[in-house]
Amino acid sequence: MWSSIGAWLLNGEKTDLDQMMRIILMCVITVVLSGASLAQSKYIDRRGYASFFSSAPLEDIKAENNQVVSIVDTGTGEIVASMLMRSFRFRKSLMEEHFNEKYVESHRYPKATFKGVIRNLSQVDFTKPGSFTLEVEGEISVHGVTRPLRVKADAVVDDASVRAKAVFPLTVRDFGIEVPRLVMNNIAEVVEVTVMFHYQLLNP
Amino acid sequence: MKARNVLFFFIPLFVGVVAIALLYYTERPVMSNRRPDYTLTATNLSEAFAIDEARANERYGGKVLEVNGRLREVISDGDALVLEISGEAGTTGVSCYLAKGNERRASGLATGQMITVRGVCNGALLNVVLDRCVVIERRKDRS
Repeated sequence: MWSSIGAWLLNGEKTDLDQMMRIILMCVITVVLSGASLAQSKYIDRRGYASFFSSAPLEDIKAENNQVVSIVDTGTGEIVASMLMRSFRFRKSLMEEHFNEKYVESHRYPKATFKGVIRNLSQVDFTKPGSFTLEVEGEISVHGVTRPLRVKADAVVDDASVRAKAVFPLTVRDFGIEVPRLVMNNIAEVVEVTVMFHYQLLNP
Repeated sequence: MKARNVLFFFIPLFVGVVAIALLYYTERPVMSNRRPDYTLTATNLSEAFAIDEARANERYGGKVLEVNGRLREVISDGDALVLEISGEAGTTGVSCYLAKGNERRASGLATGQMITVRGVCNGALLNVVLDRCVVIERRKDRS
């Protein structure tokens, strides 16, 4: 059928009706292919946001990182994110020093990464503006330890960008990060992690 | 006697508390006053991470670097200003996040000019990342 349509497009009789039908069909094919390419595109955020918040009896600690890189493939649903541990900023410089030198040992494990996939990709339309809840499942690696992670992210699709936000808990000890007894009232066992991305279309 | 004993106890305690508070809350030395641990070009730095990232992290990670290269782009991202410094062809380059309060020093920078920046190396993602950067030198040469 498609070969006969192709032949008719190229070699059909040149009547006014035929020409009009040919033009209409070419337009339809172009629109369909454009929609398909938009649905199968890679988006990137070179300066994404990640933070963690620890609430303990003696103090609350928050650290923020504005240098997170993340890429999402709206065709396959694959998501990757990578951040440098030294890019986390604390209000107190000594706290930042302890974080890097004693807890996450950033000289040995300089990055934290996530690789996953959008499980409900069929329910998300990236080709037109809208709001969706993404069910993301994958693996997160911190301090040399990899753990499975499943989160829900709120996503807003605009004309040429995708915004996403997720909030989830992480248990510090699960990643081999030991909190000394002396500071147990200063650092929580479970921290609240927030990630926010504003993805733009990745130029080929 | 008792009053003197009390003083002997509270004075060191007071000094200790002040010392800890200063240590805990003191901001880092200003980058422009810090001596760099290494001075190198954006090309050399990018290549070091491309060839052996683990070794480059060990050598440069967390250190103060002074990096020279050609300014490719100035990116304003919220309240952050990022200088993208390119190396020679085939290298990824350096992303330099300016320290707060240094945005004015970056004004007037033109793409294509050679600049020298000083900052802390956090590691490499798409580019090598320098943080808390200050602009040390700029040259108008665009050749």
